Amino acid sequence: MKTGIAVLLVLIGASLALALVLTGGHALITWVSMLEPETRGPESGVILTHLVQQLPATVLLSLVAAALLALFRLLRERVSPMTPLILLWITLSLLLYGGLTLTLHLERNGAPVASVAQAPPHGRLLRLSHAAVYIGERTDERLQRVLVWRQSEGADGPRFVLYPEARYDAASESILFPGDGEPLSLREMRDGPWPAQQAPAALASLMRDVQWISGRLRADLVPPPVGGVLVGLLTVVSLSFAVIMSWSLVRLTRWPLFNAIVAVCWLRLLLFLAALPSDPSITELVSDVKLVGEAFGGLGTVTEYLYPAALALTGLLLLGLSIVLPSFAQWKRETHGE
Amino acid sequence: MSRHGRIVVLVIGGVYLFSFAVLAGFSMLQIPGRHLLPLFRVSWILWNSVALFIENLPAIHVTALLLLYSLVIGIGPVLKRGGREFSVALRGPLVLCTTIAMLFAVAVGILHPYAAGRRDEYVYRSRFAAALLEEADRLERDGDLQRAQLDYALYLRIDPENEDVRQRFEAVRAVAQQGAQQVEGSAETTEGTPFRAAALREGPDATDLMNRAAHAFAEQDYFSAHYYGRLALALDPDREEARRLMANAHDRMRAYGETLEEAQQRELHERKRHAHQLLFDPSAESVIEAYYSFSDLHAEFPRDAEVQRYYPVAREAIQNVSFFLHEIERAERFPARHNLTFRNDRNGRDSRSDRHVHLREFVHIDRLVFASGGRYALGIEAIGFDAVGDVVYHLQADYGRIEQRDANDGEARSYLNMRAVDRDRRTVTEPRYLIGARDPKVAHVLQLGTSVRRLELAALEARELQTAGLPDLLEKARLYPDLGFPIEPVYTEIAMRLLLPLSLLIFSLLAISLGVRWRSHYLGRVPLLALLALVVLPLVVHHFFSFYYYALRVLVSALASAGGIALAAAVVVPLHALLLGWALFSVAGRMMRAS
Repeated sequence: MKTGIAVLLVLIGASLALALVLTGGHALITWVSMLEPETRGPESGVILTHLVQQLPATVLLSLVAAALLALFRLLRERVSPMTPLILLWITLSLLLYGGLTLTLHLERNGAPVASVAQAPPHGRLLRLSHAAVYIGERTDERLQRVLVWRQSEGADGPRFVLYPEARYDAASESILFPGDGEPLSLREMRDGPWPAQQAPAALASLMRDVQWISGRLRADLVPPPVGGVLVGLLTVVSLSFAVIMSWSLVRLTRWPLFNAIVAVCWLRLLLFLAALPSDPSITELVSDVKLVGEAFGGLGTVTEYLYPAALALTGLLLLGLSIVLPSFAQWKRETHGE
Repeated sequence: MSRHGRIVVLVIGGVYLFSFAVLAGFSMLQIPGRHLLPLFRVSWILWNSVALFIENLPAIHVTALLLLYSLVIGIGPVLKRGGREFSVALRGPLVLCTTIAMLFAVAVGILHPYAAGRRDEYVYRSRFAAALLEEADRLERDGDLQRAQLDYALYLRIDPENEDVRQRFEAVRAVAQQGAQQVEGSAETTEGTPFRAAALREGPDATDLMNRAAHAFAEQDYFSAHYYGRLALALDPDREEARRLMANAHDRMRAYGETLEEAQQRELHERKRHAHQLLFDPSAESVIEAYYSFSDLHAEFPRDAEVQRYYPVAREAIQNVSFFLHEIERAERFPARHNLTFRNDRNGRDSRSDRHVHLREFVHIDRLVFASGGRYALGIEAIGFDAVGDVVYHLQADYGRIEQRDANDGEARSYLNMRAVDRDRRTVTEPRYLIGARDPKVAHVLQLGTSVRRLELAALEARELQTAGLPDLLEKARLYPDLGFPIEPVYTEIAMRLLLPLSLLIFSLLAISLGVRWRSHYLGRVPLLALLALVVLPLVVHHFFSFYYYALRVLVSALASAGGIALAAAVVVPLHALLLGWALFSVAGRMMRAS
């Protein structure tokens, strides 16, 4: 029991620390995105609101990563891992459920919708893929002396246009021009302080997957979906099970570094697989299965349980692997001579 | 060297070599075959591999250390004997890691920009050579053997082993030498005023030219007298006797006899005199007209001595006030930078109020071409507006040539000359003023605030900053504010370059610590499954470094944007010092536990 509590403390402590680090990183990125050199950054309320929006993904990612750290902590213990693992599974499920419900609660209780908008700096020439823009002066949304160069295929007319006034629309992150001037989206910006925040492809895809999974879990936890909150609860429990069953991998061989790499890769794969239903072809397949299910006497609702079932099956496969592997006591003897 | 030293060198060296081989293989797949001369292929692969190796060195080095301490040194006899021997095994690599981090600093600052520069240069030179060959071929077909010869020669400087081109060059040169009696001159290769260039060709000095002028005057050859007098003046502007002789020769040119043959001669004489007069007129329009007149005379009377003398001079003179449109056609084949927009602030005159104002001027160039004959701009648009946002002028021009000239203050400046002469259609293309106007004398010229080389540097996109070398970044830091570009990305990249060696040292130490902690416990051979680690480990480490670079970039750019590079340094350097301390304590802890 003592070991179990120690491992749980690692899980809770590490998840809080990771959540803090991730939130801090998010805050920094948001702050840089909205930074105006003259005004020294956006209001803290705007950043806070954005962080609340990102909280579900932060909760999920920090809990999954903390679970892995807790499993590594468990490797150092001499006792049978069964009880700590069950405790970990239950705690992870509760934390995941609690964390995601809390984010829902925050959203329902009027957390304002913040739009993180790139602030267009004035006095600099900003280059877009097919345009360049220079803002002479800016007062909030009001822009003055805005010079725009636009690429125009085959047209002989002037490509530089100087607008005495224009308006910045933070919601669409665009500059709006009077008359028939086409708006200019700052999202296409090639330079400025912003390219620093373009995350590497691997990180961007990880965040995409995590955001989708957290969104899906939250959607399942909002009553009343088809199947009620039960689907959401089952999904949380089965996802936690699949994560905790990484235990089989953290003691896969007598080379802990290799085990760590395999476990990290496995968790990334798990998140990828869990986000697979976001793929249109999978969505189409699921809807086909649903149609077939409905044709067989209203079994369509059963398809709602396919997702948690698939996650649970993954966990069961790892559990099977754990049974095949030498016992933990033997592994300890072989690796640490204990 | 001790046994451990040998193992360390073997493992790290082995991983380095293996990685270099993999990167070389990757480079072979990446090779831009169509744009690369066969001559440069091996060199391109080599330098691309070197550049990639340095870019990935942190991941490669950390992978090597992880494998070394978790798989090689941590097992077998060392582990069995444990203790002291193990701690000895750690000391050498600490020195090695510090040395490699220092070498990495040199590699990032010097070797990587050099390797990347060489790699890119091979592609550029190959494309340049292909354009030269195509152009030489066309010129040869058109009968312009002098220029074809020049392009072939330039090509052979890039690809001297190409026997086929050398044979073509020799053939063209042989034919060109036969017709070399007709002095065509080489407008592109001479410098200074056209008369000075001609004087240098004709002369040894002003005195000799003056003697020839006097002799021609005595022989009643007034054109030659005027010509040599002008050349003497070009070499010695204070020579008053040359001015007097030119004036006398000019007066005598007006008189001529009246027989039939003399009447024809008089007509030719009149045409030459008129063209000659235009050539000495200071206005650009007259010089262009003079060129056309001499061009006609050259076509009709190719053997006339005066025409032979003045035609090249007129051709050079026209280059001073405009350029030929066919140069653009020729240049279009050469490598170019696309879509360059920049700020070109300077003082100007408001045509409406006729007063000097500080102009906010912006220039856009669709294509900036670096050809053998010069630097050209295609698709030019410029706009200038004052402090209140009133447009002072707005112009468009299809073509321009960038010239380096001495300004009034004696400094060399770059100018964009937008007056192009189409010698076939006999038209002159000037910039079109959509709004306002500028001083007619300089309406076809834009003074550029920066040099051509710097413009080329500025044409690089922001995303290319991440692969730019430190010297280029330092130059960009000076250049970007002048051109109106945001400076923060450049500061961020400079900070990243400076921090990378320190990061490498920190992660090397952490890799040693982690490798020891998670060392393999196989006493014998490692199972085949673990071989998977040799493939997966570098990938995981590579992704880890990409995440780390991303986090560091965000931090540095946030600090640089908020308080400049000083604040970024004040935060990031102590942070790295803390990380280094942590890494050192971590390794020391492992060493103590081992002993």
